[in-house]
Amino acid sequence: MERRHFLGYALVAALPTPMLGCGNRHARADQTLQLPQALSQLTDEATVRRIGKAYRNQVPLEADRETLTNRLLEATPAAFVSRSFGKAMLRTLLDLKIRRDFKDGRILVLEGWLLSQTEARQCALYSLVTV
Amino acid sequence: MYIDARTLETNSLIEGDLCIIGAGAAGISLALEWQNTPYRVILLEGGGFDVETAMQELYRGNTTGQRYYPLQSSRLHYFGGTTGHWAGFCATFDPIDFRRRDWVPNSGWPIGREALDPFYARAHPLLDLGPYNYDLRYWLDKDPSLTPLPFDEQMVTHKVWQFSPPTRFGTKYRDAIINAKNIQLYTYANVTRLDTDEQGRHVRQVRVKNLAGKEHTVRATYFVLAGCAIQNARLLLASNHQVPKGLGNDYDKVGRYFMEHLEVTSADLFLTTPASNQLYLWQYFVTKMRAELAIPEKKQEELSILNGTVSLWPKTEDKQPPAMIDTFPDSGEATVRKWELREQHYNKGETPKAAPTQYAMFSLFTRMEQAPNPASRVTLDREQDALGMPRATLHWELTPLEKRSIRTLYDLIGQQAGIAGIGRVRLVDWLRDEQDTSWPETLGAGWHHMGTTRMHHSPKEGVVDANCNVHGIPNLFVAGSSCFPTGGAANPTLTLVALTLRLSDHLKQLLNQPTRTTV
Repeated sequence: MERRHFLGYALVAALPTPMLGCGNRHARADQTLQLPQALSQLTDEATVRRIGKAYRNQVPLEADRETLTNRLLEATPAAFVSRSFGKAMLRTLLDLKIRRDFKDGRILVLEGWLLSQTEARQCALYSLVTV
Repeated sequence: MYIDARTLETNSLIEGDLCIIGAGAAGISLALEWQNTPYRVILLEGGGFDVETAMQELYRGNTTGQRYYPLQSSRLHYFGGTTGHWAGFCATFDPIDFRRRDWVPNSGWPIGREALDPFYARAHPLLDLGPYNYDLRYWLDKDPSLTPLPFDEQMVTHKVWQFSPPTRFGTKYRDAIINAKNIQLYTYANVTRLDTDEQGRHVRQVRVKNLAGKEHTVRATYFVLAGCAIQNARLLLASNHQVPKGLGNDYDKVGRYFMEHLEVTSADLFLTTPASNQLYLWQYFVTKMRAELAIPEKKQEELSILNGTVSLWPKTEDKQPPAMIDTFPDSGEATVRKWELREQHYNKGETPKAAPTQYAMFSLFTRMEQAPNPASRVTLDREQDALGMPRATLHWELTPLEKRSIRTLYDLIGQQAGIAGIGRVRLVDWLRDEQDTSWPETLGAGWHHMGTTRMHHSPKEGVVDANCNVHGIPNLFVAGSSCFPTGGAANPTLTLVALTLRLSDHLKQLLNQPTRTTV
């Protein structure tokens, strides 16, 4: 069995734009937020969903899209989610958050994977959005 | 000189100055140190020059507790001993392995690492190793293509291994032993009993038997047990006709604290960009040196964990390799023949070429120290072997500390992989629940038998003292890894040879012989 590749952008791009009560800021960020960048290169979609579901079971207070999105965007300057900066800046910020999570010990084991809390939240969001 | 003890007239008396019981790595290393001395050295080997089923059968015994390998195939009973099927892995024990650690009950050696350093250096040529240098920086400078994973060395460091070819002591040193004028090698000379004075404080002689029905007596000034951890303990316990508890066993320590290295695939490392694995690669007969991931001593102390290392095994499929304990042969002969076949292929140039050096997926394989546990032990069975000696039973027992140490090790590696941004670690299923202290049936070990006649200053806590002298019996010594109070993270062969060389120097001092002070 070869390592399966995450479908990445193609899949996310195919999804309808999520309709949120929290406003356009979150809607624009959603697609980038849902993609755990590093993990998506290492495993497949089904695994990301299972990880996401495991996180939601473990942290029921963060089991909905709005809460997860807010958590992921915490301390994110509004400019990072504006159209003009695009996905790249947000991805960079998320990457920094992920590394900071690892450095500060905000690490979870989900489905055996040692992941940062930020990644786990991304997986959780993905598991909600792509049912 | 060499004599097949089956050919001697029964009840022969053999006499010498130093009697070494067992001709494996420890026994042969010790005997070689006594070549060309004025002393008569008797080297007793229970088997012959080739592995035989009938001889391996003498090692058969029961195992209880955690699943273990067959005793009759995990150790070899012929001249050269278990070097007949070892893979050549050599590394020094770390300074922390010798220290008393508050979080590791029964830890601490009566000697420090520095006491063994000169003997490690002397052991290197015996094992056909490179320079006595285990500093990673030395090896990286020698070969700049070796690239360590970019981890914080204060959190996850690297430990260096060197590889013996592997040296088969039975092949390499046979002629030297046989041709040494002052060494008498007896094959098919199984020691089944030690006879002492009435108080059990002096070994007068040992009884030797073989399957040809011959029995002999060996007398010497000094006796050294150099069997292996199971056989050394077995012999002391079985020598209970004068001292009911067995020899060296006034405080019920003989056979206890049996230790292994837990060896098991524990996780996978997935890299976002393939990386060179050259530093971590091992190919039998080819690799001279490699590194394994390790935990710095300060971190072990901070986290109260045991010493352990992780090797990286590249793979191209996301599939777990078979567990070694499921595939290890039941027969000692089979293990030897497997290596002989590999060597034949290699010598003919038929060994597959070294694998490509860039991989993105690795199995992570743990070698973890076992905490000294008195309940993990060798005892005597009621069943006797064909020579009438009680068989050994091994009860292998682990503690939660081993599993917590393995899990913590991978938490650190996973953290470092995340911080470095190079990839992620995925644990195997039996490691995922931190509250679960159970072990899987697939848990393996390294065939590293240690601890059953452990060293300690006090006879209440150990069997031998700092000079490997059995407490209370001045002319009886033990050589080998059965003397280790703790097992470290490294394979034991280099350390047991070093400790044996140290014992040799001590025996020479007792007999007023000059010792080697330089390599």
